[in-house]
Amino acid sequence: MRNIVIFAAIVIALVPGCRPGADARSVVIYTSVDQVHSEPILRAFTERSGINVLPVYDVEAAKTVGLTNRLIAERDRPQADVWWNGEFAQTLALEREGVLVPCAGADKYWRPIAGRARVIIVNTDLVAEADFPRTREDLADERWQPGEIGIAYPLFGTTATEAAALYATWGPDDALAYYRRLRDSGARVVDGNSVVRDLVAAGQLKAGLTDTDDARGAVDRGAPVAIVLPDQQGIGTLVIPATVALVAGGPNPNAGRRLVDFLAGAEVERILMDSGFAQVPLHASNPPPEWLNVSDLKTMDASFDAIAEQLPLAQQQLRELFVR
Amino acid sequence: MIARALRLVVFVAIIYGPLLALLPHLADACEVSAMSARHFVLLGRSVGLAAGTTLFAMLIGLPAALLMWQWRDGPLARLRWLPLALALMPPYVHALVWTQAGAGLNVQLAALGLPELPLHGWVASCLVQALALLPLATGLSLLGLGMVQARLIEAGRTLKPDAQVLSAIVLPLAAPAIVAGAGLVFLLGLMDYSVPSLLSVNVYALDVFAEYSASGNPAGPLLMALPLLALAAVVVLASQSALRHAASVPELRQREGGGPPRYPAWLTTLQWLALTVLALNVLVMFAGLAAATGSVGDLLVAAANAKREIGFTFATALVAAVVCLPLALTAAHGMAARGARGWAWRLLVTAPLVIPAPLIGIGLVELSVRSGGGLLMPALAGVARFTPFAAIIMLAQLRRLDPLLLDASRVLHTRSARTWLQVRLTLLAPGLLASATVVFALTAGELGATLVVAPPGWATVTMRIYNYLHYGGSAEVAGLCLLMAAGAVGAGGLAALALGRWSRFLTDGQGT
Repeated sequence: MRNIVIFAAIVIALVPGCRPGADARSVVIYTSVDQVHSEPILRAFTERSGINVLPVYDVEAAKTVGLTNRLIAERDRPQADVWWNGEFAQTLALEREGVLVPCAGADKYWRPIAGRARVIIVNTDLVAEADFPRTREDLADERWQPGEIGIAYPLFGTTATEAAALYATWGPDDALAYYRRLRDSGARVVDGNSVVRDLVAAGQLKAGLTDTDDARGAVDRGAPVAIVLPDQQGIGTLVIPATVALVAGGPNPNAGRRLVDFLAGAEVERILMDSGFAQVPLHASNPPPEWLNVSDLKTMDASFDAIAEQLPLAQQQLRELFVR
Repeated sequence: MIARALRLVVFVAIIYGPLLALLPHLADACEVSAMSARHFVLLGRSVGLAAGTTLFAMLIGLPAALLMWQWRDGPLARLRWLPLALALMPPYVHALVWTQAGAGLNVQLAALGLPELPLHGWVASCLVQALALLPLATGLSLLGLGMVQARLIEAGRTLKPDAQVLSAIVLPLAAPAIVAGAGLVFLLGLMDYSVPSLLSVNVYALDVFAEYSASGNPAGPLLMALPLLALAAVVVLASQSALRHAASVPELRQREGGGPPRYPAWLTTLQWLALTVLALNVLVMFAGLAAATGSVGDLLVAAANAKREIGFTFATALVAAVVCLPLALTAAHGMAARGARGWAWRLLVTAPLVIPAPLIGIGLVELSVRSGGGLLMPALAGVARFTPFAAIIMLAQLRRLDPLLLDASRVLHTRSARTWLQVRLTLLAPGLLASATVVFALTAGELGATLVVAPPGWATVTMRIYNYLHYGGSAEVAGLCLLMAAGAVGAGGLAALALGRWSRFLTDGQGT
């Protein structure tokens, strides 16, 4: 019994005294933007404003059950002031859950930041340029042998967002039929977009769907890969902006607003583009990268709300299809 | 009776508190999808994969442990615990290193016109996961063999050849502990989705995550965890109840006489083959990570960049290691009991192993919303997740206590506190040290719950590793993994050193 009493005393003594976050000169941010990209930006904010930033970073391996669910769980006593997301669907979900407050006008709960695009990455050693897949349908073509095409699980992250966008554009039946064809053709479903990139770069896959930041990283490292913007003659490429929002009831609202304004600015967008996280600028002052002709880029025209609305159905049906 | 009940209440409150905090969400259970035939097929396949993984890990781990078990003195005796350092590394890193090594090997095989090795699918997943769990399987087998009474072996060797002593005395007596170890390996394999999903295999654990990701409602994964809890109960029934009957005496007092055992050539060959696989596993992991890290300078840069995370990881793991000890000791006493009480305790201790880690994290968040969170939350997550390991080690240690020493101390000491400190704590120290070391290592490598409860501005080395994994920073990841392994070797080395000194202290007669 003595050992239990000692333990209880330790916990009671230490737990309540260690709550961080509530400090006028600090701000707490939860972010799913990769630490390697976001950390220098947050440091720059601290240097400029004198406000100490306390970040919590998400990781891909958490399968999006990390910080968004934490924000929902903390809704009654928020620890975070700012939510900075690498995409928009989870931000809209948080808006629906009442986790966010308007940060740009009376009914705007989030602000977009430079975007990434969903692209096809192709191994140029294994596929001639004339044979590059140009559309998403091409990836389900019977000319590919089983195991030559790869996608990440369409249940998590930007791959799930793209699936929801196809549900919104084609309708649930056609979208589900497409994913069924992809599965039946023997497409390899792997752990994440970075894995698709690595497998294509290593020649273990001929082509796959991934994000521009992942694909561009492989190109910059000199891997034998090419980037194809899918469906430029059809429904278009999905561009996914990052989003930044203010958490309702956060401990440092004023510092939070300053950080939101900073992150949504043109300067941060340029830094994100320089570091390779974003490729599609939203601010006119930031030129797009040379390899991406944004002015001619045909993007999918499904609205963010329509995509977010389709996300639960897409996740449910694709889970039945792929996780078996 | 009241003291027993209080112990139970405190244990349940701390270990199951996060889960209990989620119970109100079960009211939303009608909103989540019910278990379908797909779930049960997936669960069946996952059980098959985990069983195959366990079988392979134990088929290598047990013969390797049999060989290393004979190393009683000298540097080899200390080196035999070295492979356990690999148990600290996330299974995902094992998979990355082995797939890279496999891809390199396939290039050579293709050049020779030979068929290539499968780098994804069920076979690859089973093999890689088994290699990731091999250090643990070996360590648990060593622990089981260490529980066999030396005097029984000595008696057997005077009458029969060593091979018969092995089959008739050593293995039957060690079997309960070895089967219990295999049960733990099975449950860990069942709950890991990282290796299978990297190697394109769908498992039930991934589906639990998908359910949580899609619904954002803990009720779904809670319901989906129920079949896993049933499986944990089966494992407890099949293994740990037998552990209680394992013959054992204090190992520190054992001194086996005679020379090394002489086994038939086939058995010796098998043991050395298994040891070669184990050594190859260690070698491939360290060589692969060292090659990916680059130079020593790169390693130092990785360490310098992560110094804040290293400090926080060390503090978190240390707190968890200390806090878990009284709980583990309490649970071990409960598990050692006879009848329904002992069985209930064994189930209570084992069940947390199959609770999805994010649920423990979210449960802790719910508790902290009411009571105030803080820097200790990641440590409490480690306590909630890994106290079962400490409890099982403590149970093994309890079985080694010599009751004569305790009786003697009661005669000589009048105050129970003095008896406890000077005798019982002294005798339990090796188990406490081993438990703390294991919990320290596991907490340092934890991700699923830590990610949900990490205080703003703080992160563990494992969180940093996974962050850089996504980015593709292989040098940084490899450097940090090497640091984690070095930390595990360091912690294990210190524990072994302390155990050695303790052993001499007791056997020289200066202790009790």
